[in-house]
Parts: sequence; C-alpha cells; structure tokens
Amino acid sequence: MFNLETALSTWRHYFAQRRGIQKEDLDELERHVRDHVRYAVEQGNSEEEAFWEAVREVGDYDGAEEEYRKVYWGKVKRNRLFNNELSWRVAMLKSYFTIAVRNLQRQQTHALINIAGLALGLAVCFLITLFVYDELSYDRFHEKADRIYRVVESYTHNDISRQNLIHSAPLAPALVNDLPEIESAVRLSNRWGEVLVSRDTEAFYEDGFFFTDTSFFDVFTFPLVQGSPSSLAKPFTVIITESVAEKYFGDEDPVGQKVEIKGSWGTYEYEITGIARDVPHNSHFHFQFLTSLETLRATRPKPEHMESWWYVEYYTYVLLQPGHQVEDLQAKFPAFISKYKGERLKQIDVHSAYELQPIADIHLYSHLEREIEPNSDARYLYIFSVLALLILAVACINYMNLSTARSAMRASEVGVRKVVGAHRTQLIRQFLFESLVLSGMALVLAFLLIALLLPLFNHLTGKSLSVTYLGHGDLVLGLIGAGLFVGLLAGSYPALFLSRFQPVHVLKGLLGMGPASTLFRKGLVVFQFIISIGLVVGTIVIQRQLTYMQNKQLGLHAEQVVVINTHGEIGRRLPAFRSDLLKYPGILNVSASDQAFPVREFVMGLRPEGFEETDVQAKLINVAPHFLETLDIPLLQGDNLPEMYEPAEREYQPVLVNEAAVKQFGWDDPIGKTFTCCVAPTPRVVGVVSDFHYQSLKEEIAPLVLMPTWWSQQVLVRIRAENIFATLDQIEDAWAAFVPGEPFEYTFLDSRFEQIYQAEERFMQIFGAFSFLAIILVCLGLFGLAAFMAERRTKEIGIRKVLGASAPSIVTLLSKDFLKLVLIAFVLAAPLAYLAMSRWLEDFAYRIELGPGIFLLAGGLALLIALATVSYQAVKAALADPVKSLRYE
Amino acid sequence: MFSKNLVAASIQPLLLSLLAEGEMYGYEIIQRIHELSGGKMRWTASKLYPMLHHLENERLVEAFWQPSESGPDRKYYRLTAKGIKALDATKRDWLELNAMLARLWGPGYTLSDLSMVR
Repeated sequence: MFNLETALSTWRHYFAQRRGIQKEDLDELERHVRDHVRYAVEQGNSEEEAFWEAVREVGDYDGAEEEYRKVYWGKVKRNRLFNNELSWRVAMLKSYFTIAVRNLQRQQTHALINIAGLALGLAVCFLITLFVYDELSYDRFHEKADRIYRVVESYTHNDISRQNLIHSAPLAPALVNDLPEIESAVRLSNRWGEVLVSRDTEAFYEDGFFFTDTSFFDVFTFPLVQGSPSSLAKPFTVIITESVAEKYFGDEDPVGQKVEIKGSWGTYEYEITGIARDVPHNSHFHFQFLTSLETLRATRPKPEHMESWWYVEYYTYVLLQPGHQVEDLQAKFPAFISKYKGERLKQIDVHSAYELQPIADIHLYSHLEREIEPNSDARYLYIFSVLALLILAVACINYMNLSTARSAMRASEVGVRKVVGAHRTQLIRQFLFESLVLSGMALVLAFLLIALLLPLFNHLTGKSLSVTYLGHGDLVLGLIGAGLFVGLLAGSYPALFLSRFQPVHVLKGLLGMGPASTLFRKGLVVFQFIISIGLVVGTIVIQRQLTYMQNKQLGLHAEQVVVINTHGEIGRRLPAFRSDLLKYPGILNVSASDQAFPVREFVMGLRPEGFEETDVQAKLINVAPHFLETLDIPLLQGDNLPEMYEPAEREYQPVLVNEAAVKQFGWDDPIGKTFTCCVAPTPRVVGVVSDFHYQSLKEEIAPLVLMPTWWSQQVLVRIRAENIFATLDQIEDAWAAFVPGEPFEYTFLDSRFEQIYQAEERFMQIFGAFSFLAIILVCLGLFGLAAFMAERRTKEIGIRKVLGASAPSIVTLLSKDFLKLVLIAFVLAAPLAYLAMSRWLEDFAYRIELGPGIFLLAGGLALLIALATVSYQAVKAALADPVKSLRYE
Repeated sequence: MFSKNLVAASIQPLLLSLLAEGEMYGYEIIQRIHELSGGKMRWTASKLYPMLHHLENERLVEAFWQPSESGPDRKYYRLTAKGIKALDATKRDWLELNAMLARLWGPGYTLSDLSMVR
C-alpha cells in the first residue's frame, strides 16, 4: 500500500543520512517533492507515480550534494567528520540499526511471531542435543575408560545361545594371573533388593549396595574423599558415598563409626572406612555402599562357592594393559575357558565363549539379562535426533517464510533507496543486518526458553540435566552459530532477490507476489503440515498400541504372583516347601518353572513327531507340579501333569502342549503324540492348555511344551491380595528355613510383564511432546502468513465489503486457500505415515489395526487447527472498517 | 533544448526577472519557466535550489518561510533592493549582447521580435 508520508520520510531519511546537505535545504527539497506530487495528482496521475517522478527528478544524492557543495564552500566549513571513514561507517551502521528498529516497531506482531517460532525451534533442538550428548557420555568419566571392558559369557547348547553377565568368583583372579594383557580385574556383586541400614534409631531401606574387590578403585575412577581402597580388603567394613554420609551422619565424621546393615545374607555391623564422591548420573551403575568380598566369604554358609567355577554371582570387569588390542586378548579366551571349565562343559555339551564389552558401549547397546540397571537404546537417539532436526527445519522454514513475506511489504522502501542511489551492497547489508538482529533476539529468547523448559524436559526423559554454560561451551556456541546461520540464510533471500529488482517492478508491487514465490511459500506450508500430521498420526498409533498391549489378556493370571529367583537349590524339596507355605492363609498356590517370565530366550526346543527332518520346534518350559493352577491357565483337553514324578521310571514322560502347537503341527488328536530329540525319556503329550502369553506381546504365541522337572529357576507363589507384606514375610521365613543362605529375591509377575513396555511408554510421551511442539510452530507460521496475506488484500477486501459482501463470505474467501493446502498435505502425509507406522507395528506380533479412523482423526485435527489459526486473521480483516482500507491508496 | 552553456548562463537572469514579478517558491518557479519556454525548458531541483542559495549568499534575493495549506511550510523568495539593481544591470548586458548578435545576423531579425521576451 503506497503511503506518501512513509515514502517521503524514507526518502528524506536517506538524503539526510549522508549529511552533505543542510536541513533547511532538505526541507525545501521535500516541499518541492510534495508540490510536484500535488500538481501531478491534479493532472490526474496517481500519488505513487507522481512521487516517483518527483523523486527521480530531484535525482540521486551525489549529484544534488555536489551542487549544494559548490554553494556551501563559501559558507560552511568542511565537516571533518565527513572524511573520517570510520565514523562514517559507524553512522551507516547506526542508520541500518535505526531502520531495522523502525521496521520492527512498525510490524511488531510479525516480528514477535517470527522470533517466537525460531526461538522455540532452537530451544528444542538444543535440549535434544543436550540429551544426546548426555547419553553418549555415559561411563566416559573413568580415566581409563577406553581400557575397561565387561566380560560377557555366551553359552551355546544345541544351537541355542544365551548370554550371561554373571560370573563365578575365580574368573577375575584367573584372568589377571593367566593373561598378561590384563592389568587388573574387579568383581562386583549386588545382592538384589534393598538393604536395611540403621544407625542409632534411624533406619532406611537403601539400594546400591555392592560387594567388590580392592581393585575396584584401580579399574574405575570413583574419587575417594576419605579413606583408602585398601579398606576393601577387610570384612565388615563399608565405604559410603557423600550423600549417604550426610544422610546418616550430618556434619559428623562418619569414618570409624558403625552402622548396622541387614541384607539377604544377614544382619551385621559394619565399620565405615571411607567416603566416596557420589556417582555421577551418567554411569551404568550407581553404588552407595561398597563392602569387601571378604564380608561375603565370612557370611556364607558355603564358602566353597567362592572357589567354584560353577557358582555364579559376580559382574566381572577387566582393565587392559595400555597398547593392547581386544582381539588379541579374545583369541586367547578359548584356551583359557578350556583350562578351567573345559571338562564339565564337554560333559553337559555346552560351548562357552567370553566376549569383552567396552564399558562406554554398555549404556546404549547392552540389553542382556540381569543388567545392573536398565539401559537405554541407541535407536532412540537416532529417532530423537531426526525429530529434533525436523522441528528445527520447521522453525527455520517459518522464519524464512515470514521474513521474505515481510520483505515484500517493504518493497517501496527498496525502490526509494535505489532511486536515491543506494548501492546494492548497502541494501544487502541492510537486510542481512536486520535478519541477524531478529535472529539475535530469537537466540536470547531461546536461552530463556531452555531455562524454562529444562525441568519439564528432565521429567519427560527421566534425567536431571542441567546447563552449565561453561561446561557445555561447545553446545552453546553451536546454538549461537545455528541461530546466526538461520538469520543469515533468511536474510539472504530478500537481500539478494529484492536488491536486484528495478524500481519499476517494485512499483508495480509484483515483488513477493509473483507466481513463483507464492508457490514456494505454499509449498513450505504444505511441507510443515505434512510433518505435523505425520507426528500426530504417530502419537495416536503409539498410544493406542500401548493401551492395547497393557489391556490385552495375557491368558494367565499374573496378578499377585510372587516370583522368587533361585538357582535350583530348592529342587526336590519344592513339594515340602509348598505344603509349608500353604499353611499360611495368605498363600494360594506354589509352583515353579525353569524360565523367568516373560521369557527372553529359550534354552531348548523339542522336535515334534512327524517333523523329524525339519527345523520345526516347540519351545520348552520346564515346570513343577501345580503350574497350571498357580497361574490359572485353563486345561482344554486331556490331563494335567502329575504331582510326583520320577523320570527314571517310565519310558515316556508326560508333557503338555498349547493350542498353537496343536494348530501348527496339524495334530487332530494331540493326546499321545510324542517329541523326538534331545531329552529322555521321550516326551508324550497328555493334555492341551489354552494359549497364554509367555513372552512380550511383540512375539507370536508359538508352539509350547510344558515338561515336568525338579530344576527350577523361579518359584511362583500365588498369594492373596490382602496383607501382602505379611505374606511376603512369611514366605521369606519359610524360604530361609528351607534354603538358608540363599538370598530371597523376588518380583511380582505382573510388574515383570509391564516393565517390558516401559521403553515404549517413554517413547510415546516424547513423541507426543514433539507433535505438540511441531503443531505450535506450524500454527505460529500459519498465523503470520495469514496476517500477511490478509494485509496484502486489504484493498480488495475493502472493496468487496463496500460492494456488500458479508463477513462470513470474506472469512471463507481468505481461509479457502489455506484449507486447500492442509488437504493437500493430508493427502501426501497419510500414505507416508501409514507406511512408517506399519513398519513400527511389525515389531509387535499382537498389534492394533491401522484403520482409517486414526488418519481421519489426525487430518481433522490438523484442519481444525489450521482453521482456528487462519480464521482469527480472516475475521479481523473481515470486520475491519472498509473505509480505512480503501483510504490506503 | 538549449545548449548547456546557454541554460547555465541564463539561469540567473531568468530567475531575477521572474522574481521581479513577485515572490515565488521553488516549484512555482520551475512551473513558470516550463510554461514560458513552451515546455522546452525544465529546470531540475538540483539546479534551481543551489542557485537560489547562491543568490541568497549574494544578497540578491531574500527568503522567508510561509505556511501552506497542505503540509509543511514553503520557502518563498523575493528580490532585494540589491537584486533589483542586479537585474537592471543584467538586462542591460543581455540587451547589448542581443543587439550585437542582431547586427551580425543581418536584417530580417528585428528588435520587434524581441517582444516575445517580456
């Protein structure tokens, strides 16, 4: 919209800034231009054309100045400042600045939207980067981190492999002794479950209690504030962390004092011999109490367990000598294993191998059974990084979109500058400068946002990240760099593009409204909506799948089932244990199995009759009597397993199969069918049980065989829902009576099933957060764009209103375009989202349907949001006074 | 269009003569010249105003600001007494010069033709 006053003041400003012409003369020149315009308008020209003509006639600055200077030199002494290059440049800079500020003030809303959007994008990207950095930093604080490895053993029996993190006591010393490449080794054992720590009258349950060697501090870098590592050689001493010290001792010196600690191995007094720094959060394990292995040796009923190669209890870490390659060391392992375990392994037909895991890899890549603490997953890092980049892309696109749109509005200013002779470089610099100022403000806002959002982010990710600007110097620099880069990029478009145009084109207002640039801008909007719709679809799908998994019937009764870990100790005494327990009113039933539910990997499989030459197998779970009753698994056909069983007595042993087995093996009459291979006596089917989930719902229910056994790894106790703790105590007492010295470690079956989905749940929360953010950004961009479009059509709207168009029709007019874009985005996004989500769902054997409902919901949501955002501007325009809009010209 | 030199030389006499008719402002002056020359002469602002300035320095004209009915004030010019004297001197010079040229260019070019210039 041409505004004479604005144009005049702009023109005036440029003349004024070179300071070659006196004010009074400038006033006169300005007055001259006004007169010319008035005259031309009277002749029938438009104000705009007249202005241009007048201004052009006055000519460029340099010519005018020359003329005036000829006259001045007699009167005005030469202004020294003129010749001072530096202060001239400063003046130029100041002028850029004032113009920038003036523009900002004039278009406050647009600027604000722009800044807010960019700031949000930058802040989110920064937080994600912080998260990723943190995840990558786990366990790197150890001085010798690149030489520390954890030992993993893989067992193979009958082509089925299993990996194991828990090793026997003699492993570590033998490694150090036999293999010169190993400088040191350390054993770590945590008695699973909490310990009760008391001092005087205070008692608390604590976790993070570990038994370890004196070499602990040689291998790991955990600074000791007081005391020395050698204290770990004595039994019944303990090294505590600073926060523990503070908790129990306040300001007193804990060293030399005693605490009483009750663990599954007994209650004893321990003397405090050292204080260690709190373990930083980015460690794959956290300790609060360290005591010597000697304590364990002194309290066990069977000390020979500590000499046996077959009693496993310890995580084992090794420290390599500097300069040695892991591969060379690993090549020596087979001989090593064969030396100590070879014979027995041959007997049980098991192949064993050791692998070394670099300590820094554990957090992101290790997901073995019995990890000390649950680990993260490298895949999530990739996904989050991609998502963060997408959000940043959306924010940047918005920023560029809005700035270029605004630049078009300032076309007249550009024309003026060109006419008064501004050089192209000046124009470029002006635009770049402005853009940088804006992105600078966005950066400041971004830092504020980061500080504000950090607590929420920590809650979401389950971490406690903090930004110490000194500690994360490189990240902060990166952020600043990114902000400036975006500013430059965004500023470059108008800078290069606009400055190239002839004033005539600017005059016609073609700039920024040309078909190419409008198409580009529309394309960007569509792109943003595609991302948003995709994210919304993703969130809905993930959430539904989760709910489905959590609510799906497992086929077995998992509530109030206590799962006790054992090492086969209770063995044949299970029935006696069971009858003892059943005396308590709280106990409903007791059984056992050799696999922990949910099962991760199977030890064995059986080949069914008729499939001898094939690979077809049924998975095997060995169970104790009363298994079906304890877990409430319905028996569909035939008989249950017998209560007492002696394997040597019969030619066959009875087994149960599940429905899936019957179906897959095509057995019309399953009773009596046998399994060939691998066990004796031959298993024969006596009954069929209903399908139940014994693994995560990611897996299909596969054919299963339940075989009776005495060797159990898990004792299953079904209890009543009331008085759980009392019941647990009773179980523990009974346990201690039957297997004294065996630790009482238990979980609940249903929480075990739930835990598998923890990762997915967190994934969903974060995904949801991202969608929300993306939508906000897209709305911001849309808002600004709609405002710009509405403004451009102010005159048109004014005319329409005067001609009698109603407000609703105007709103429709303005909104139509945008809604079309949303629809296009939906059409493009839906198939992409469908593909991506199908791929994710493939991982789950039991999954929801990707019905049209989900997509319609997401699309509808997007449409609604777009409508709400755009209509605000549309309504505002529709309700504006038409007289004012027409007066613009 | 007249040659540059001619235009340059004629600015001062034309200006002084115009202002003798009455006080005028810059744009007005340009309009008048445009009319008088039948559209042949169009003075630009960057020529006119510095010249006016120069005349001000020489005290041949004086300037004063007058409010206008639309917008900011206008700067008007009028001849000073010194200016009137200068105008007379200029007139004499130009007429003498003209006479010389007329004699050189021969009959058929009489003084009466000069009546075009008022």
